Amino acid sequence: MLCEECRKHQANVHVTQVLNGERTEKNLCEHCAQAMGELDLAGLGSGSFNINNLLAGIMSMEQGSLPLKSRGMACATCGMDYRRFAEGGRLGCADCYQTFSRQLEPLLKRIHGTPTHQGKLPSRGALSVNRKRHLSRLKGELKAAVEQEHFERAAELRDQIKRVEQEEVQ
Amino acid sequence: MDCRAKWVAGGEASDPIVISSRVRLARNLKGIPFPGAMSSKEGSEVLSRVAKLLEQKAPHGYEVFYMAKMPQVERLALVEEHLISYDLANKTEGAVAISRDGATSVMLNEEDHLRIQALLPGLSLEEAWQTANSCDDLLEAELDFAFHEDYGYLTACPTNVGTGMRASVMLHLPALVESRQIGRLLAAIGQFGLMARGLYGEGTEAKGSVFQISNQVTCGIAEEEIVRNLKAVVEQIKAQEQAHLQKMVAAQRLKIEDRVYRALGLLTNARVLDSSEAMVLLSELRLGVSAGLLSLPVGVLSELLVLVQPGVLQTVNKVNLDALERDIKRGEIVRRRLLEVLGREKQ
Ligand SMILES: [Zn+2]
Ligand SMILES: [Zn+2]
Ligand SMILES: [Zn+2]
Repeated sequence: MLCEECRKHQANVHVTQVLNGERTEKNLCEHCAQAMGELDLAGLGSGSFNINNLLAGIMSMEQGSLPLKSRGMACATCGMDYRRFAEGGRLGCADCYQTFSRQLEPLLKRIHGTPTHQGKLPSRGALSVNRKRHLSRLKGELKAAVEQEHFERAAELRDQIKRVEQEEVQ
Repeated sequence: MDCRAKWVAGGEASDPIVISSRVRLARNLKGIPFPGAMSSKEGSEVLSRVAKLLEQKAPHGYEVFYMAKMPQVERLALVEEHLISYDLANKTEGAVAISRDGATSVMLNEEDHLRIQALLPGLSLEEAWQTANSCDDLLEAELDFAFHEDYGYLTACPTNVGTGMRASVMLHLPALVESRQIGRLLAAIGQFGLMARGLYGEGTEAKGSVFQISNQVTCGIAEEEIVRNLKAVVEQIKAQEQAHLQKMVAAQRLKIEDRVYRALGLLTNARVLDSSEAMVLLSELRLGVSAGLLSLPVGVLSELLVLVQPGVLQTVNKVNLDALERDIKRGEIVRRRLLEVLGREKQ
């Protein structure tokens, strides 16, 4: 492919620029990419590599293809609606992640690759995450025990579940 | 006449290329809307809950500064020391808790309820992560943070969700700029999940060849790996800068030496020095040190980078100055500090 800027040399650099929500992609030769680097240096304040602009750019692109119904959706906890989120790029509260999960999933995938958290867990939060996982495992075992008519085991499991649920309340 | 921030305080920095390393963690309190959507009562609640904790529980204690109670020039000084963001400086609900050693600052009610950041001189990302992490441990022992089983730590902006972590380094790359390699380099680091931006840019002018490089992806990757990735790329950029610098010196030693010593001559003699000129000339000295043409402690250059800024200049000297008075004061500070260390170097 030829460079889109000079149309003389072979294009071997792919440049993505997002300026004020406007996204441009270009295939350039080394010379023109370098010249562009100098432009970037000159236009520092305008934030050509700014992540927030990038997000706003993606959001506004996706909004166009969004069904009308979800454009009017609002979070019951904080009142944030999807249009305002798409414009500002900021969610209103933790519950917004549930409310807009269907719209957020593809967005998170695009930004982060796989949007499944790795790394630090809050020491208090991790307990309740572990407890939830433990509880759902016990409930699965209980269901199986009942189906197989292992009533003694079922009774044990019921007690165990009750204990974990009580811990949760405390 | 001193700065608070650890990355410049006391002139401890020793790396002419990697100026500083920073790790920032975004956290939000469970049950309270994010700052952009909360009431001012909820904002005060965040302040009272977190600020008290940091003042009392932290091993060395934190000093808390409330934006609403600070004169503009002092808020500006905190921005210039990189202890707070420009956004926080303009928020009436905003506050910052700064550790006594100036390494950790916790911004309150910025875009998220908490922005824990550790900022250290040189390439010290692991240490910055440990510092920020232990501050987070201390806080989460008492506070419930908004956390999602799949998404991780929840943040106002989906670009920060997961670890909530942004690790960054500030780099001085004059040789890559002058050899016109910088554009290609900045375009290439995107492939490593990193992003770059110029610092100290005002309007259309880039000053001092300073760039910030940070991780773009925050979710699906553990903190230690973010640190490892960024560090590996920074080490390569650093090697590239050194190689290009050596090439430049080999090709035109006299010309570069002349540039560096002219800058030194101006900085040690100028009576009126504006901040833009000071930044450019300090960058020349840093290049000289980096190339081994000038013997000067790097720490002093980092310190001066902050001391010449208008907010810090007026705050540490406890005076309000108009533009000309600032330029005169700036000249005096730079001249004194440089002559002092040059005298020491000669002995
Ligand atoms: Zn071209
Ligand atoms: Zn070309
Ligand atoms: Zn909400």
